[in-house]
Amino acid sequence: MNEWIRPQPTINDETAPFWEATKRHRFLLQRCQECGKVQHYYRGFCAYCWSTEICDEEASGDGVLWSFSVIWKNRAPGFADMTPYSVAVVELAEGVKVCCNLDIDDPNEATIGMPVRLGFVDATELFALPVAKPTSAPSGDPA
Amino acid sequence: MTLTSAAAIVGAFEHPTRNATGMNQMLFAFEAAKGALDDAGLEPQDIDAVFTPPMLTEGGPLGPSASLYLTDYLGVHARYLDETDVGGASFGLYLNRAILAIEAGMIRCGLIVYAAQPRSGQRRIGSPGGGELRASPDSFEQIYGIPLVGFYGLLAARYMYETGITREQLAAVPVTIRGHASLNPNALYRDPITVEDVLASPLVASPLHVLDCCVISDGAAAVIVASRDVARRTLKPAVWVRGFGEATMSHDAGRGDWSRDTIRMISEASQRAFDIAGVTPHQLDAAMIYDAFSINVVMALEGAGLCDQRAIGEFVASGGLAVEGQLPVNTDGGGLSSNHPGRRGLFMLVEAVRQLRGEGPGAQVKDAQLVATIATGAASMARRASAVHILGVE
Repeated sequence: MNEWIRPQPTINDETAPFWEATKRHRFLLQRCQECGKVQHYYRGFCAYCWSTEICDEEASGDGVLWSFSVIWKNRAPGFADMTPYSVAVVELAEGVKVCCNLDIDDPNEATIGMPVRLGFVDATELFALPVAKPTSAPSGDPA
Repeated sequence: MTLTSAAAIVGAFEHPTRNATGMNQMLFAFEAAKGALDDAGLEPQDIDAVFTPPMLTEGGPLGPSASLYLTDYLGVHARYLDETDVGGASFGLYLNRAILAIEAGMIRCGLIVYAAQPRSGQRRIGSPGGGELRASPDSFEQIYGIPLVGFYGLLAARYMYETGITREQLAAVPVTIRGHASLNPNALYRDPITVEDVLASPLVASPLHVLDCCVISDGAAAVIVASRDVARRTLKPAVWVRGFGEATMSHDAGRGDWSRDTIRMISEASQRAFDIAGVTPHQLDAAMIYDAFSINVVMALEGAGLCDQRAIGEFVASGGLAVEGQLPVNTDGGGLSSNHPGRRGLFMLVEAVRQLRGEGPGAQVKDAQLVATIATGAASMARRASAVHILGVE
């Protein structure tokens, strides 16, 4: 594995299960056992009803591109050498939106609404970073 | 109890400089405060409340407890403080708190002040924020390399997809506001620009180009908010806060829609302000709209009910926001061209007051009687607030 020079997540007891799962290439959402709502980002209670009866739910990984932006200027360490790169908001099949990078050769091929799938980039022994990749041919499967 | 015109802005001052290299931040704040105090014709002993935000995001040095440090430095005896931090909309929230404190009889005269020097501190588009990523929310968002402008790029891409507003139409916003700045001797950038110039300027976070983004200036400003009693003896005719409102939005555990939530947030704050004032958007003579990025302005037009969503593109492209247009916006050159240290809200209030007094340094609306200020601000990403005010002369 190459040395990871980008920022790393700060992992605490509350969020450790999420990052542990990324190492297994799983993206954990949470579902509340009392109100049924699904949430992201990972936290120790239901953000809707404040119940602490919440369970991990692995995302299927399927989603659509809700928005994206190609970043041309970022002076932060670890990102300055990456520009231009793409950031995205993906609406997962489970109904929540997540931020991630978009792995696409030509950003001009990206369109809002295109189907994408979450994958992972192995980073360090502590985590893998979620990333979204288009799943259909860019010339446009209308489905 | 009626809240309309419960308090007035009796002093308003924008420091003329956009570059305050080497100056002590608190002395810079003093100069703005003194400018506003002299504008009102009051004494320091008249002030009994101080409002200012913690400014680590602009390079400080005033950070937590900024309001108490500044109160001490200025020699003010405060009965009320606030430093609630919602980014650029903080000042609108302070105005609301001052009005309520005046109405409750707790204070008579509040100082809202801001001084920051990110320009001389070398802050630029894409500069990193301080510190390592927090466990939440940064490790789920900023870890992907989403700078502040990146959030607005994502928002702009989505809003354009939803509404059909074109890239060329959006570019009319910085063009119009630069036109106003060209008349303002203190504006940081004054050379007129065209839509072609905007689209030819380098991309920062698609679809936003450099000229879609606000300036990064050093800047300071202050307003004095006062009760009716105090307003009776100030130098210039009072500018009354006819209506006020505030609202927030958030990440909403992943269920939010940044675009619709922004519209809802601005709408909530605006509706309340218009209801208290008892006026409608059609009655406005001008509006100061938070313009950190061009996208902020068009979304505020929809959110505040100033323009129908389907008509916004054509409205801005045909010069609707120009001083000679239907709804003059950011007549001093705004944050896009004149002054934006890190937070714009206080400068918007100053400009609204100047328009109502006929003292605008850039473009001046003829016979302005009713001006709105529509501010949005953020802590990070979708954690945002909005403050809306309707100001008028009696």
